Amino acid sequence: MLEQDIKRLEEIAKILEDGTNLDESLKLYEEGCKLAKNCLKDLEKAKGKIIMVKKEFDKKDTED
Amino acid sequence: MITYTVTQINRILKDLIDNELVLEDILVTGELSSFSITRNIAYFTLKDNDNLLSCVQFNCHQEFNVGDMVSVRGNIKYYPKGGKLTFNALKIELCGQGELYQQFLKLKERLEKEGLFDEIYKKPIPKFIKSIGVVTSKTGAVLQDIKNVTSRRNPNLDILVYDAQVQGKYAVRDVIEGITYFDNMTDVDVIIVARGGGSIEDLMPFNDEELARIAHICNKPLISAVGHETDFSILDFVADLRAPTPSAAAELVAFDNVEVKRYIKDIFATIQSNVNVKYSDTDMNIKVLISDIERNINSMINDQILSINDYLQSLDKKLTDKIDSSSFRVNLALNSLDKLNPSRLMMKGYSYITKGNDLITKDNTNIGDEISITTFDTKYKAKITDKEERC
Repeated sequence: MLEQDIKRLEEIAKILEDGTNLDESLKLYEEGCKLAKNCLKDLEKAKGKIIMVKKEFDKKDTED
Repeated sequence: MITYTVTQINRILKDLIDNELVLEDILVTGELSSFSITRNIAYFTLKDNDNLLSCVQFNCHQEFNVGDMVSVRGNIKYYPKGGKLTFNALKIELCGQGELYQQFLKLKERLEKEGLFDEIYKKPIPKFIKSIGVVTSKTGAVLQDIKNVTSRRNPNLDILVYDAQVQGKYAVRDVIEGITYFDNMTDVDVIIVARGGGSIEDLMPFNDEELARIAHICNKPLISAVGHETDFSILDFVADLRAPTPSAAAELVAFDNVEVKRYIKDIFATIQSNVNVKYSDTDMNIKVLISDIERNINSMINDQILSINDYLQSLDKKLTDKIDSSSFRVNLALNSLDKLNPSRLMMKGYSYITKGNDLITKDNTNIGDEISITTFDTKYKAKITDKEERC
């Protein structure tokens, strides 16, 4: 999902760079901003998850 | 003719012999064929070929052996009381060993060189036997001695006897036949050739070469029990075992029942201790094996932990890298988006015009239409008053 979102974001950036009409640009810009926000949020979540999983793993390790 | 009384004729003989100068202070050489000493009086016989001379020495303090070649100095005396003529010895001297003994030594040396006495030919005497074949004289005391000893130690032992002359001219033949007879008899475990003590002439049959060779090829264990402990014969050397006396031979072969029990007990104890050793060895081996296995498994597990940790670390790194690269991509895209942000243009004075929800085109607008103008900070409503196509 995240990967798809990033790919879409990159696609949007490319389309905007190549140029399209304003209406399209606006729509794409809006979509892109939304996507980017979500992606960054998801990435932060993933980082948090890794830290949590690691903590859990270390905890179990010392228990044994 | 004159008639004498015994006393008279003995006195005459004594006078004649005792005063005969030829018989006084003489030296006689010969082989000792018997010798015995009691209360310092030695009785012995000198011999050569078939002739014998009985001798006596008073105050004798030296022992001699039968077969010794001696030279004896003394006088011939006549003893009327015994009616005997005796060589009254004053001095006995050894002059090399006797001829029979020389023969014995020569034969012994020859057979020894030939290897007849070699240890490799000595068969072991079985420890537990069922029957003994005894070659001896049926009437001799020797057989009774053997029977006494065996019945005391082990009454279950069978004793078979081959009646053989053990001295004289048929002794060699008889003993050879006896040995051969028992050797061919399946039920006999051990053969004993037995004879009591005697002079060297008496024991000569047991120094016979043919007898020695028969004893050598005998398949069964053969024990020689000839004479006393001090007597040696060729048969003693060629036999598998020499017993000092016939009774000793019986002692050697007749196993004691008590001894058998002890023997079996000993064997059992040995087996038990061997088994114990084996068992504790195996026990030890298993322990070592288990600890080996434990160590191996532990080291395998440790290796796995290490490699899993490696995986974890690389996984960690890969994931972090992925997130970082994803973040980078998102930021890059965001950067592009920011550059192309349409409101930047409008801040420079640009605006856009829409009719309804659509941007206006020359085709969807006409004079009089209502339109919206969006600038950086304001949205205007306007009416189209004129329309001129530019191209």
